[in-house]
Amino acid sequence: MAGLFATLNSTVKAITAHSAALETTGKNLANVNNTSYARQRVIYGDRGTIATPTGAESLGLEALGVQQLRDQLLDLQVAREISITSGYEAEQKGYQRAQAALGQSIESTTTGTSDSGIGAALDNFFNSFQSLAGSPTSDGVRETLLQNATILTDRLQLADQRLQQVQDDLDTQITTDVSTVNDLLNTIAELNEQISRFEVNAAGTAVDLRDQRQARLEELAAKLPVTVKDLGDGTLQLSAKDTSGVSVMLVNGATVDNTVSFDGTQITAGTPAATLNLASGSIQGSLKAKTGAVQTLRDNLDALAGQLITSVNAAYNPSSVAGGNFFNGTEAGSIAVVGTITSASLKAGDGSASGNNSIALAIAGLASKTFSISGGAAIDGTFVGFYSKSVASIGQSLSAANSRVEDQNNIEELVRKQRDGVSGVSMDEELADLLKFQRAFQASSRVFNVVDELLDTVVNRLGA
Amino acid sequence: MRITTNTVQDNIVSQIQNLSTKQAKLQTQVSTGQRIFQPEDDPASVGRTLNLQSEQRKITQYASNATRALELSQATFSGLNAIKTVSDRASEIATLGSGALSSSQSQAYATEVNQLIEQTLELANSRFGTDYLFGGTKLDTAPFAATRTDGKITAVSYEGNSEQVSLPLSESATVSPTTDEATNLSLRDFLKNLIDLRDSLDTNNSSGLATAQAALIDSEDVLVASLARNGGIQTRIEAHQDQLKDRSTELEKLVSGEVDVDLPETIVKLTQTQTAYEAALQSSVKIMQISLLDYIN
Repeated sequence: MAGLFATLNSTVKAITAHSAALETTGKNLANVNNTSYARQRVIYGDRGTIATPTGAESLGLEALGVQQLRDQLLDLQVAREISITSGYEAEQKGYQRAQAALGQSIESTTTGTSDSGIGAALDNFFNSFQSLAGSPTSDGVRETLLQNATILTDRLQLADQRLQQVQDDLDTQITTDVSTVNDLLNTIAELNEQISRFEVNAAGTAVDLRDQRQARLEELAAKLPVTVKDLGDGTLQLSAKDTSGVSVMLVNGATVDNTVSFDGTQITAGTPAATLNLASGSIQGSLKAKTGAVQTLRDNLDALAGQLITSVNAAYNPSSVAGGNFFNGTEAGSIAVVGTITSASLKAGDGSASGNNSIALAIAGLASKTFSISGGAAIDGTFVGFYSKSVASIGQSLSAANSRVEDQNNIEELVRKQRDGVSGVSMDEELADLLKFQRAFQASSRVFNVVDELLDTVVNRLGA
Repeated sequence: MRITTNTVQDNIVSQIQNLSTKQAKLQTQVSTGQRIFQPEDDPASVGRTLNLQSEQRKITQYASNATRALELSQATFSGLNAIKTVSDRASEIATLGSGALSSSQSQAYATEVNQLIEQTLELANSRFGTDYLFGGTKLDTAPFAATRTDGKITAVSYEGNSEQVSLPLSESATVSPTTDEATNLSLRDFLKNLIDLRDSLDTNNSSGLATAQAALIDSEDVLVASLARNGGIQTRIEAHQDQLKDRSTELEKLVSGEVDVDLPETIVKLTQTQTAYEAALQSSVKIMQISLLDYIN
């Protein structure tokens, strides 16, 4: 049996180990609301075994170190899901703003048919020409017609400007995201370096740095999806695939090999610049919204305005007299009523008689005309039909984005729950541990006390 | 599965958030009676609604076209009817004049016919608003121009044109509420007949009187036919108005079907959601309050 002094010594070690465990529990409790924190545990170990005349004997307990409870696969999965979620969310936001920019809402029958939106303006425009056909000499009708025409062109122009603004804002968003990505790449490279330095002798011990790096990785994933590879020395390698499937190295251990940049249409990285093939992340979501449904909506408005200009001018100015058109411009952004048209000079008919309404009737008839792209027109269907389809189409894009975001949020939540199941802090559990370690500490102290009393007996009382 | 403090809280928060979003949406639907507001709410339905509402606006426009057409045709009717009254009196005078008359009597009738001529010219040049009614589409020129000798009308010419004002009553139907060229020309002829009658009476020319009388009967026939045609047009316009009203009601129903909320169903759903929301709040308060911390000291 080891001597009393040896026992005293090992008891001290045990007390130290229990204090370390208590301290770790305290740290876990302190980080209960820190989502990027992974709970920690003290690893107990034996100080060693020695051979004694009475057999092999343990030197007692000691705290070997602090271990972090992380599941690397779940961490990667969380990052992936975050990336998908933020991609969908960015897309959703883009569509929401496009929908707001279009400004076409539905009003109930109880409040009467609304006059808001391009749809109503189109109808009012064509209806004004019917009124003109009915009262070709009325100044009031002519004034109303010109006003309705201006309202239509104003709404088309405004919608186009707003959608343009939405696209510009998405560009700005992407540019900001790209610079955040580059900052994060630098930060992760620095963290890689620090972790590898701290963990030269003991792998996996730089727990707080690893927490930080994981948090940064998740931030990065929200912007840009990267392939993460563990290099084994505590550092990570981050890469992204370009459009031809070749990996572009972004971070290799402690160095940033390539940064990413935005050329206005694509995200590129490396030299020579290779276009990255992004499948998720907010940058991809913004790009998709910008070049997808928002652009489609703008194209549709342009087609609508273009066809409107062509058809109305052809009906208003059948013999193509120079300066005799009704509309100027070529698309939604430039459509305008010709400036020289006044209520007096507005033509209702061919000019043969003041009551001739052939032109007004021809233009009013355009409202019911069915166009076809295969027949050389810019749109399919009637003006209002095409517009309704365009509105339904952006609504469809947004509605699909909404449900994708909802589903994806559920998935992300599930994966996060799984990870929390491994890494998250449970307050009850930690409190139980707190009591457990407190008792263990008290027990070891008790042993210390007993040994101390024994020593007292040996040192002071024996032979007295 | 191991449940952590954060998992519990995240669960509670997301559940409460989901429920309150749902609750807010249902509440808006109940309070406005409207199911969809933005294209995202139900894209297909929004597309249909926009088309239906456009149709409604079109119907409203056709209805106001019909009103305008009816006004024009009523104005035409009253003009023609007044001329018909003149024609009746003229025929009467012609019949009276065909008997043996002294020249002073005959001249007195001639004076009355002269008044009738002036009256008819005024009626034939009658206007609706600023537009002349009996001149085709030449709305801004008096359609009947008189040539006068010593203040008396001796000839009348037609200055209007052969076109007829037309208005759409639906995508396929148009209506011409005013008179056609034949009627307009017959008005000129009627004036000419009146002039002949006056001149015959003035000179007490019995054979001229007989010719004028026969011609007057002919032009009265044309007038009566025009009046009948005009009545037909009014009936047609009124039939269209009824049809438009029916279509409008039908469309309103369709729009309501797309846009309006099924109130009883939504209220039931809202009540369910409220119950769930309350339950979530209550249970979460209970769970969040409990901790091992409460039991150890």
